[in-house]
Amino acid sequence: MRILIIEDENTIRQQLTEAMIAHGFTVDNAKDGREGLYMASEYLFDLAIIDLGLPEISGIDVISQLREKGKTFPILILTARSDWQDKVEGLEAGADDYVSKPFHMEEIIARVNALLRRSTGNASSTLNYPPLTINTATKIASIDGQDMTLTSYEYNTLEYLVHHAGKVVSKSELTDHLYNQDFDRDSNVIEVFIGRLRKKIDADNTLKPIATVRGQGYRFTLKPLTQADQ
Amino acid sequence: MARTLFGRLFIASFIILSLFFGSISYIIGQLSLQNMNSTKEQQLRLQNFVLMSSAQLGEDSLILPDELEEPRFNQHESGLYGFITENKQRKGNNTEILWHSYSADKLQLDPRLLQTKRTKPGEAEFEITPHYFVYRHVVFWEITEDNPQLLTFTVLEDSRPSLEEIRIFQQRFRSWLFALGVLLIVILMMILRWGTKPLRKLATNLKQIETGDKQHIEGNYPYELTAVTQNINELIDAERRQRERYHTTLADLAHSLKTPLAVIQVELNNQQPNSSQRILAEQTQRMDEIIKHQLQRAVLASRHHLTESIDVNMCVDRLINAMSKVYSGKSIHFERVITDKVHLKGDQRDLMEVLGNILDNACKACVQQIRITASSSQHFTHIEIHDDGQGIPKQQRLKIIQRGQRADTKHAGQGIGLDVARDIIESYQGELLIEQSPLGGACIKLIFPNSTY
Repeated sequence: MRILIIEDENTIRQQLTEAMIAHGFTVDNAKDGREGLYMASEYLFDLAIIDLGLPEISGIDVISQLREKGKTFPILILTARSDWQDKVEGLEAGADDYVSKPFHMEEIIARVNALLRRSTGNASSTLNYPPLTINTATKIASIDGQDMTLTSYEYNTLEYLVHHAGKVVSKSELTDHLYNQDFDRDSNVIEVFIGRLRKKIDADNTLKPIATVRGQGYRFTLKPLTQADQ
Repeated sequence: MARTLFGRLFIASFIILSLFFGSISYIIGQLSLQNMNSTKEQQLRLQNFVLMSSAQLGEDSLILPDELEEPRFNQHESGLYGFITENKQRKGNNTEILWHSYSADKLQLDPRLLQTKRTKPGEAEFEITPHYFVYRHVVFWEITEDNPQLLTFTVLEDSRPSLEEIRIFQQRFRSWLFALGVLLIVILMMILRWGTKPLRKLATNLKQIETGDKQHIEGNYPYELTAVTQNINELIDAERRQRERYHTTLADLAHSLKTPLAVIQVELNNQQPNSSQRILAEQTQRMDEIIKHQLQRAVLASRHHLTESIDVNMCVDRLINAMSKVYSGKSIHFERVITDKVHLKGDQRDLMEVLGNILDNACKACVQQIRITASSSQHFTHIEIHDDGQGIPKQQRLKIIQRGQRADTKHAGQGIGLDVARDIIESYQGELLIEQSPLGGACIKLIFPNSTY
């Protein structure tokens, strides 16, 4: 999952970036509203963390303009102003949740995970596609109850495909969500990850969980566990 | 009445008009009397001359015809009477009537009316007595050649009909004058109302600004008041800008103080906890609460006195929308029971802060239902927030609204939120009460007086 952090305070931006990377997210960051608005408009993100007190363009204006441009990814606002008028204005501008400064990093991670779950339509942090199960909170995937050994990028690729199960996900879309803007787009690393995932999930090639749609991309084919199945 | 500008102008105008019409009434009354007297003097002089011209010499006395030219002399008790008297000064000032007109045949007359102090021939006098106009003319009449007599020709006219006529004239004149005065006062009142209308409009506008129904003085005003309204509007704008600057400065201060605190807090969390780091974490948390609380107090201290009218329904709507987003995972059912048009006088930020803090607590505490009620009476506006959570035990209710106390420590910042809400409500001379809700959880009651702020 690719996250954009727009925060003018260098130390906090750095702390947030490190914490997010440590939790398996791909992170881009911007130091002011103008740069953040440009990045959020030009690249694909799954979530943005935006400070309200930004230089150049205020956080509320950045959020409003992004929503006007049709960007629907969840937005978490950071605010030093703890009064409700500002929080409500931020939420009305299009943000989905807020965290007041100073904050605990665990709280940010929990809010980010909750927002990502909500944005993909999953109320729970556990994604169940028998025999595959993914826990988005612990970032652990398992087959038939056995934990799989996945690298961070492999896990992120699998989680993104599972979040978009049944839909065709292009290679460039996957690249956008897995890597930040400095990644070399001509690399065939995505194909390598898909190949590794197929082997790890479906060693005897009977499930065929990830189908290749020629000329378009990949599709996750396993069906989710329904209440009837339970 | 004298305390209003309209009343003062009206009283002054009423006094001036009363004096004017009173004087006019007196002067016209006097002039009409004088005019009547003068006319009567002229008329009686002529009658006197008619009498004299009618008199003829007899052998040893005056002879007058049986019927005089003036018919009223010939009619019984006609009101016009003629007398010729001889002044016998040498015989003890007695007056002897030599002739009287037929009209005075049975007239009971005070003899003094026929007496005159004039002694020289050709002298005349006009006298107004309570009942008569009297004109006397003294002449020397040579009835015999060697014994000229001093005669007085006296004409009297009953004054009562003329005085009655004058009375009726004066009465009618006063009636017309009174009617005209009333009409003028009505017109004057209308002019005063029209003239003072801009002042009343200005007062209404200022009242609306004071109560928050308007932001500026609006409408067209006469030239004399335009400068005043412009100055007041500039003053209001300056006050508003000052308040905004103050708020921005406080927000910047909050940002400047809290950002380093956030950095410290994250750094502390990244390290292995030991006793000194726990102390540092606690103190950081305390500093955050102190900053939040003191900034809120500073905002309260900067509150302006030109209040706004806040739509409670609109504020509740905005907060419910915000809470629905933040607590979307909890699927809270918000029930709203708000009577039409509940408004509060004050600062919208204050109401948002109070309701935001209480609703946030309710969202954390509830199972799935929150009810918000608001109603307004003549003196108070009541807002209640109910939840279906566990509620707050009686012994904790007093504690919870004391500074920094928390009923449920699992939700960070809950104590300071209610503390801030209580501070704000108290600054409005209002009250915050915690009770048991029929939904099963807590009921936070807010009571705002309608007119104290």
